[in-house]
Amino acid sequence: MNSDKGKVFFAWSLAMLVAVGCSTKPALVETPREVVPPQVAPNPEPGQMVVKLKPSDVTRPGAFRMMDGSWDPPPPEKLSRGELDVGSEHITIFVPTYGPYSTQSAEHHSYSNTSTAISVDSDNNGQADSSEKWYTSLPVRLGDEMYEVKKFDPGGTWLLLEKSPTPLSGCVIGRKCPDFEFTTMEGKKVSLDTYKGKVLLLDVWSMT
Amino acid sequence: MKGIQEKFGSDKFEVLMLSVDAAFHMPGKSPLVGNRDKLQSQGVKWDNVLLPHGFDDAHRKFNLDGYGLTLVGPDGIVRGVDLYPERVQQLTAQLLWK
Repeated sequence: MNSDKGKVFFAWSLAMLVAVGCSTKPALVETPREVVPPQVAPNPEPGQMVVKLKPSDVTRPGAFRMMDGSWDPPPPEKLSRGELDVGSEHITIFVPTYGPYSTQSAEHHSYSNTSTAISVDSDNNGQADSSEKWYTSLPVRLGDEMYEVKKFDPGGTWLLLEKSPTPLSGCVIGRKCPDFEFTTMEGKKVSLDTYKGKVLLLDVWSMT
Repeated sequence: MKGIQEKFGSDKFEVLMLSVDAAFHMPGKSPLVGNRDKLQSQGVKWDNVLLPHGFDDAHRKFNLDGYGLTLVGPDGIVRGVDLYPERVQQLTAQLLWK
């Protein structure tokens, strides 16, 4: 009898745990934090382009920042969609629907970058996958060209891009790996060409 | 990773390790000595680079946000980002045995 009671209590506890677990799923941010009126888009100068943004149903996990000191998952971000042409390619980008926006980062390190991140839909699946995220304090790879985000509309209806002279950077699935040149711990020079004809695994690691 | 390399051969599959330890202040050993000791103790002989600015260098160069595995094909095309070892093996097999 006691055993049966124990089983019932165990099942009830499990059900409660599942219910609580489900209820802590982060809710979609539906309400703008602050409605900021859109500004008129500037006339782009040579090498610049204005990308118009429209609200979409696409979301991505909210930015988790170590410096926030919280382990709670941040709520998903609603994203707006922009379309642009780079060379012969049509590219879709996603930008947070709500600001505030910034192209500057208060922190130097990538894991605490405070600039606004945009997503470049490199695989054209209509989603903002985690590997497609780019912080705008650094140049962003669009196709095989680099661009800087010069300005966001505080109201979130456009952004201004400018072609960047910086060398190609960023690993994008299906695209050429950016050239690199490093000196190994043993003093050997290695570059992308060193591994030509072989499958190369890049492993970012640390001792800790 | 060693198992994957043994399976496909070091003439076809290479690993470039990018250590972010140089950006962290660790009491005791220098990152160079620490990395060398760690790799020796694991029997790892792959090329290892100490990125001077750690994650920031990985981010600037490769747009990689943290630890992880990225696979580049023999043609220099990126085939996978933020991969699990099982997926590395699958993709490598597809690239080498197609």
